[in-house]
Formats: sequence, C-alpha cells, structure tokens
Amino acid sequence: MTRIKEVFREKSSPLLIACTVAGDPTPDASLQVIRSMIESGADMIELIVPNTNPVADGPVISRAHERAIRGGIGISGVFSLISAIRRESQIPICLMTYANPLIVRGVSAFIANAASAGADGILVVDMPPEEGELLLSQQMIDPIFIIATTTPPDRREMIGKIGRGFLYIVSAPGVTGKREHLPDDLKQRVIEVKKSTTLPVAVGFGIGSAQTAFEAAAAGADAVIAGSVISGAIERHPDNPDPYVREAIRSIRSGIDRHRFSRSAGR
Amino acid sequence: MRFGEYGGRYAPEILIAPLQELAESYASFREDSGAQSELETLLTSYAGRETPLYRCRNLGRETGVRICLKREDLLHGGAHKINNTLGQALLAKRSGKVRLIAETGAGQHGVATAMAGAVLGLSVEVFMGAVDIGRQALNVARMELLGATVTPVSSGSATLSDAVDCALRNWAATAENSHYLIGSCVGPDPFPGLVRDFQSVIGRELYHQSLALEGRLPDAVVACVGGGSNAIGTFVPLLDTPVRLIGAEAGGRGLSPGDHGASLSCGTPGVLHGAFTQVLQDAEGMISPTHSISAGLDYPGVGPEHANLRDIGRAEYVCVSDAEAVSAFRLLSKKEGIIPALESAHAVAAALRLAEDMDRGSMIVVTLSGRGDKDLGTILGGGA
Repeated sequence: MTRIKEVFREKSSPLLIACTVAGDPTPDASLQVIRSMIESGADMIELIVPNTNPVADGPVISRAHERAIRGGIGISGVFSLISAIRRESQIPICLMTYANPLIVRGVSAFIANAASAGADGILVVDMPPEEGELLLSQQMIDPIFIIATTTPPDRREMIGKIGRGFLYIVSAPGVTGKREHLPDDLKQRVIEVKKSTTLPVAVGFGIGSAQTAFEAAAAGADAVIAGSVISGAIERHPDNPDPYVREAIRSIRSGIDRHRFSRSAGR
Repeated sequence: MRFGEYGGRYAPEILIAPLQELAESYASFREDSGAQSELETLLTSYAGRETPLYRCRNLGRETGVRICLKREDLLHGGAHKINNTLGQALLAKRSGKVRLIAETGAGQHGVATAMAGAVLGLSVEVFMGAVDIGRQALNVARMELLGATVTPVSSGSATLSDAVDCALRNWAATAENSHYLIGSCVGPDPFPGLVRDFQSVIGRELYHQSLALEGRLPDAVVACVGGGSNAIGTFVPLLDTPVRLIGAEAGGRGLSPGDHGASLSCGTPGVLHGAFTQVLQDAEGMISPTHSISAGLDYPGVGPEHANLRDIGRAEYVCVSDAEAVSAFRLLSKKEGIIPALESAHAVAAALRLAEDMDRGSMIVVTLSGRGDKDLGTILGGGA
C-alpha cells in the first residue's frame, strides 16, 4: 500500500496537508521548516518545486518561489531535500510543480528521480491530463489532479477516474492565498466530486486560519491543505521561522479539530 | 492544436474550461459572417486598413535590391497590435464578456487593448511591470486616458513576462465575465492560432499588393520576432509560396545568457506561459532574464508556430543586435522620413544585411510593425 493510501486509511479525517516551497528560504532552513510542520501535526507534506513563473500562485507563495530560487536549491536540491525528510520520517510527500522542470529533465526521468528520492505523489499544476500522458502511464508515484471551480461535470468525472492518491479541490476561483471565508458552495462541490470518484478529496487554496480550516472540514474535505500561511510565516520571520510555522500549523489543526469535536458531539 | 510538436495547453485546471470555451466561441466567430463583417468594418474605418505597401525610394538603393515596407506603423495606435485587439475584443463582446484583461511590455499592446475596449464598450485592466511603467510613462497616461486601469506588477523582474503571469492569475479568478486579450501568438491553445489569424491580414494584403503594385511576389519577407505576432501574420499567408520568410530576433548586447531575447537562436525546448516552445532557460528549466533595447522583443519565449516553422525549415531566424537596430532606426528615419519602432528596426537591419547578399533586382518586403515615437527617449538617452 502506498504511503498516501495508508495515511488516509490510518488517520482520522480530515487530514492536514502542509505545503512549503522547497528551499524557502534556504535548503537547510527548509528542512527545518518541514520538521516543524511534521512535529506540529501535519499528516502529509506538499513540497512545492521553486519556479520562475508561478502563474497559479498568489503573491505570498510567488515570493516564496523567488526566495527559494535565491536560496539556490535547484531541482537536484529538491530531490535531496525529499531524501533528507525520508531518512527521518515516513510521512507521505507530494511534489507540486510546474510543468517546465519536468519537460526539460524529461517527464519520465523527473518522476523516476522523485520516486527514488521518496516522493509519493506529484501534482503538475499546468499539466492537465490531456498533456500528461507520461504522468498517467507510470506507476512509480501517484499523479494528483486538481478539480477547479470551473471544471465542468463531465471533466470532473474523467479526472475522478484517472487521478490517483487523492483529488485536490480548489476552494475558490483564482490563485493560492489566504481568505477570510471559503465560498458557500464549497460543500455542494465536495459532495459532487465525491460522487465522481473513489479517491479521498483534499481542499486547498484560501485556507490560512482556524476558521477556514474548520469550514473546509465542515464542507466534507478528507484533507485540508494549507500553504500561503506557512510561506507567510517564513516571509515575516526568515531568520527564525520555526516557531511561527508551528503556530500556523497548530492554528489550522485547531480548526480541523473543532470540526471533529462538533461532529462527534453532535452524534 | 499543435504546430508540429509545439504548442499545447499547459495551463492550470482552472483555465482549462475557459480556454475550451474560448476555442469554441472562436470557432463560431470564424463562421459568423456578421461578426466577420463587423470586424472588417472596424479594421477599415477605425484602424485604418488597408495599410500601404511602400517601395523605398532611397533605402538599400546602393545594393540594387528593391526594399518595400508594409506600413503597419500607420495603423491607429501606431502598431500592428490593433489588428489583434479589435479581433479579440469583438470576439469577447460577442461571447458576452464585459471586461478585457491584457499584459503589456512597452505599453503598445496595452494601448491597443484600451482602444478596442473603449470603442466596443468593454472595461479594460492592463497588467504592466513596474519597471516598464517607469520606462513608458507616456503609454501609461495614454491607456488611462482611454479609460483603462493600469495595474503595476512588481514580482520577479517586474517586466513583460511577470505581467503575463499576473494577467493569467487575474483571468483564473474572473474568466466568467472577462476575456484575456493576449498580445502575441504565445500562450496556451487556442491563443497562438487565434492571434495568428487576426494578424494574418498583414500577409494577405502584402500578397495582393505585391502582385498588384510590383507585379510579383517578393523574394523574401522580413519581420521582427519577440512573441512573433506581426511575423506570423506576415508569414502564414505566404507559406505555400516560394517567398523566403525571415524573422529578426533581439540579439541585444550579445548572445550570452541574459543579454538578449533570441529564443529561437539560443533557446531550448520548454513550456512557457502555457505552450511548449523554444525558451530561454537554464538547464533546470528556470526562465532566464532577457535583454533588448526594444521592450517588445524583450521576452524569453516565442510563439510555438515559429518554433515549428524553424524546425521544418520553412522560416529562418536571425539575430540583430541593439546597435544594429539603432543604426537601422536612424537610417530609415533619415533616408525615408519614417521613424520605425525599435522592434521594427530589427527587421529593417536584417533586411539591409540580407540585401547585401542578394542579386540586384531582388525584392524584399519588411513588415514595419510600428512607429518609433515611443522610442525617442531610448534613442536620445543613448540607452542600449
């Protein structure tokens, strides 16, 4: 059984998936950030590969991309970082990347490198299934796909069938970044996606507080994804991000737990 | 749609449905005679088509080669950009969109979008790098006067490529009521083909005018290539003829990384802004910084159709340095009384170089994509 499947089976949902840009602000500090995420309650790590043109990311994560590139991690450094985490932990790791680094290295070679470093899943933000033949045909790691607010029903069915690991539901239109509240229609969308797939569904984009984590959990997410809040903590405290990263994870965790508690109390 | 192996739709999932919708509405727009005739009316009475094919009286005379200019610089707004913005804005309006988003480098495409938005009653937001805003204050004022909102982009190098990122991000959140009016034959499918079609009016006119006025097709046509929209519009109607197709890329200060914008001469295959094409990047796929004296050629990618035309050997691409472009800029101004855009001056320089090696009596058409008023600051400032 894959580590992703196992974590969804073993842990009580919803899970917390914590994202950070690999190498933000430096390769060494990034490993420490990931340790802090794991120790303060992350159930899965989503590791974002730094990119010069992060078109799907909002300003906070875009700046994290810039910091990581300046920090000098490089693509090989990302794989080393995965190996370093793997030496300490069996937590599932999902890579999130833009297509170009895969295209340049060769999709198959990139995936083989990621898998042998210890990655479990890969989400290629700008490689939809239609462009992702090599992503889908390999069996080394799970290709993760996004269901967006604009994804029509027939396409949702298609993605629900071919995706592996889990599906990533985007909470609201636009790019990554913190929001006050998640949209009211999220719950309905989660229900619809769950009808078209047997995979667990994770909700991301806009979750940066206990309140939004609670709302995502209440909408029926099997996992809640938090990213900008972590990049924001690193941005504000580049010399000593760890206590702030821990605080951010705990806050998200508390929102998820509030939902769990209210659910069990209501029974 | 692919151009050989190039092109494709490398876009985030949130944009896939809007891109599909755009492809479908464009397919019906093409078949809709009412839409086509409205576009033609706009191009004629608003933009000022057709543009003249002018045979130079003095330029290149010593070589004995006949050099003609396709005068896109005479269009409303001073550049070929309006061909595309009127086309896409009309398509957007007929598809029920109320707002246009655009990116701009030097501001020419932003101005052309603001004009199209104003005339068709669509609101316009233009994303522009903060560095470019500083360099192009006049165009910023122009866009604002035309009713557009200019939004500064300060991420990355705060230039064109970052403005494209921002425009794409904005579209991801607003696609329901907004159309992303991309400025060149780049981006995810269907944009490269759509922009190519709207710009092909250049090559179609050029074809007929050459036959009518000069009694023959040219031996070669030359156009500058940043993203490559005026060049693709020049080339495509001539694909089935024996005419040599030559693109002039920004050779900048030299061909070391970071010093130029010559994606076809120096690039490698990669994905940029939604298309698989030739890209200036490092060995790990990180996009390289670029330089050109002309903001319109200062871009690390190129339209995917150009990459294919190069690979199949149908079109040739050459580099023109900043210094050569500036000399051509001055020469054309002096010899013909026409001040070309610095972008177009790259094509003029390439044509002059070509003329040296051609037989006397040969004929070259240069697409003069824009006029050079916007570049006087750069030239007078001595900036290169």
